[in-house]
Formats: sequence, C-alpha cells, structure tokens
Amino acid sequence: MIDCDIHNEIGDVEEFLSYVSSAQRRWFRGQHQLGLPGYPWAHPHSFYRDELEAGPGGEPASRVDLVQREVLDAYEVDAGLLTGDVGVAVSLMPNPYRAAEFARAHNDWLADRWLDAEPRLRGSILVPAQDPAAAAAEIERLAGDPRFAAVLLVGGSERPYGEPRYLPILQAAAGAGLPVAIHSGGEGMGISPAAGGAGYPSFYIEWHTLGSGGSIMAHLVSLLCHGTFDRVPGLKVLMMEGGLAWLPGIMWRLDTNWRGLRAEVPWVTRPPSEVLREHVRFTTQPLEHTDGNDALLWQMLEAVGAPDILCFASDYPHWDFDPPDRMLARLPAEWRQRVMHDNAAKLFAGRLALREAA
Amino acid sequence: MSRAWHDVASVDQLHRDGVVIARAGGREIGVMLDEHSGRPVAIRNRCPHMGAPLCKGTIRSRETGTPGSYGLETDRRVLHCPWHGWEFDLDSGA
Repeated sequence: MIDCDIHNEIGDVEEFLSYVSSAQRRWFRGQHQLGLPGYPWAHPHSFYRDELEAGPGGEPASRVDLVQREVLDAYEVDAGLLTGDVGVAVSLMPNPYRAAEFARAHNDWLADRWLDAEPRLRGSILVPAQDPAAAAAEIERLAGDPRFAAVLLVGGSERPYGEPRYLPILQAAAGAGLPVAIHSGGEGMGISPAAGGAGYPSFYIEWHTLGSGGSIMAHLVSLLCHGTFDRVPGLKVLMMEGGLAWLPGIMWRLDTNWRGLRAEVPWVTRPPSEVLREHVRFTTQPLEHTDGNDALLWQMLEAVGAPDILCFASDYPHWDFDPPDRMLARLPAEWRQRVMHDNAAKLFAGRLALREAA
Repeated sequence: MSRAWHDVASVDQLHRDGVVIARAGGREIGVMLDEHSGRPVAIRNRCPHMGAPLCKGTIRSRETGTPGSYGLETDRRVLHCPWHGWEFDLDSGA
C-alpha cells in the first residue's frame, strides 16, 4: 500500500533553523510560525487526531519514530510521500527571498532528518511559487536526489497554475521526471485571494467544505484550458485533498464548454476529460462520506476515469484523515489494488523504494 | 448481546484511570468517567463513521447557539470522536 499524503511537522524549531542560513536565522526565529502565513481561524478543536502522541514542540508527527509507528507500521505502508505541513504555505509569503530560503532549508531538513532515517518515506520538494525562476532552480538542485518523489505546490495561489508564469516550475518538474502535487490549503492565506470568489468566508467549516475543493477545481480547469500538458511534455499532476464527488460535474461542464467555446482556447484539441485521464491523478482523502450512497459515487467517478485516476492518501496526522483499512474495505474490490498501490507506483515512476515491483 | 451486568472495574480504578476498556458480547466497550457530573458512561469503543477508538475522545459540554450567539449546554454532555470530531450525546447515544 502506498500513502500519498503523510504530513510531517517541524517539532524542534531550532533543529529546523540550523538549516537556515546564519544571515536569515534571526529573522525566521522572530516571526510568528516561522514567517509562514496562516488561517485566521483554526479548527475549532484541533487540526490533529486527538489520540496521537505529541512530539517535540507538542505536535504529533514531529518525529520519524511517530510516523513509523502510527502510520507506516500500523497500516503496513510500503511507501509514503511526506508533504510537510505548514511549510506548504511558503508560496504565500509576501517576501519571495525569505520564501526561497525557507523552501531550501525545508528540503535539506527533510532529506537529512526524515528521508535518510526511513527508506519507506520519500519527500516532496517545497518551492517558492511566487518566484517561478527560483522555484525551478530549487527543483533542478534536487532533481538528481532519489529521496524526493514529487514537487509540492499549495492550493492557494496568486493565479491558477495554468498561467504561463508558472511554466518554469512545471517544466523543471517534468524535466526531472517528478510529478507536481498540488495540495489544497492556503486559500486566503498571505498573498492568496480568499477561497470561493465570493469574499472571505466566516468559518473554518466553510473553508473546509468549499475552499480546499475550489482551489483544486480552479487549478485543474486552468491547466487544461492552457493546454499545459501539451506545452510541458511528460508533466504529471497529482491533485491532493480537494475532494472528488465534484469532479464528474466539473469535467462534464468543461467538456461541454469546450465544444461551444473551443475557439477561445484553440490549442485545446481534444476533450479536456481525455487529457485529464492521461495526465492528472487525485488523492482519495477526504473521500466524501456519502450517507449510504457509495454505489452512486463509484459510478460517477468511473465516468471520469476511476479507478485509474485515484491514488490513496491517509492525510495522517490530521483530524480528517482516512484510515487505510477502512478505505480498503470501502472501495469496490476490483479498484483496490490500483487505488491503494498501482496508480501511485506508476505515477512516481520508480522513485519509491517498493519491496517488490508494482 | 445479552442484557446483563458485567463487572469491569471498581469506581476507584475508574477515578484513577478516567477510562476502562472491557470486552462484552464480542464488543469493546469503554467505561468513561464524565468529570463534570462524576457519572460513569459506557460506550462502544468504535466510531460508526470510520471505526476510531471513541474512548480516546473527549467529553465536553455541547456547544449551542442561535445565529450570531454562542452558548454552552453545561448539563448536556457529548463525547467527541478523537478523529473526525463527530459528537455523541452521553444520555441518548445519538
């Protein structure tokens, strides 16, 4: 089984800061949350599962042995992708130079402190998307490092990722043979506009219902409308934690609009849903709880390419995680092998240290 | 499961540990102490949503309110699942 979304926390801040250049360490130490923007509201109770063991700094998942025990060993995970946690908001920092330094330090800290310690874990490369040239340079710096399996972008952004300004990031990732993972979150943080296009939501529950899915929808439609997968040969995108039940509706709408509005984007030469099936994958968590209508959900997702477009993710240690054993039991039997393992093994193309060939 | 009394722990033990896990009728049952009322409650240790160990959750007064105002029902106690936060009323189980 492959878990595509395991969050690991910065527990020991001073340990992390030792990877920041000495010239910038004082600045990062003095900022709230290391200078990373945050939400104006936290989860009303806790962002984390209650029963997990707290590591240094009081947060769960902040030591390798906790991740080993609570996810990798507990659920017999063959390989997992680490996606950090608050660090993903680096692209939403107003200061692009600090952001570049944070991303570089985070990548070196991840490789040293996590990836060297546990071969089942692979890392995602954090990049400062507000400065695409710097982001591409960071990808190129780490392209040859087999401990990294993806480039990580955040849902919140200044413009959707199909915009040409982001091409250097996508080209560097594809050039390195790395998929680009776009993880929901950060909508309305820092330099990102609020989720949903209707102004700032009042509650965390609104963001969790709409914001995370909304940014993923926007990036998906943007990438497809800009013809990105033709512009960047070899590009693969993994959409993370944006929900799935909306996907058939959006793709039906986009395919229909393409028939009528094709002249606006004449470089899109095929129905967008065809391009999606070839180049875009989606993590499962949080798979909508359907109140007994799972059969409907499977049928709708099949219409847009499931099970081949789905990759399992647990989202450990967050409060809304999907336990692998429950997901396995819930999925249609003929989907299980592909969703829990094969699709991700193929996507990460040999970057995971799997015990046996996929 | 048959309706019968099961001896799971002493009151002292419950006060010391806060929660006692027992097996009855093939099910894992947690007996928790609600510190607010001092009352012990028995709960199946498995959330109906995704199977979380419910007894690792927290017992709290239920948040209430009308649009724009927040309140707390101090005598209505709910168990919050440790994973996804689903709430279960300690009196009704709902």
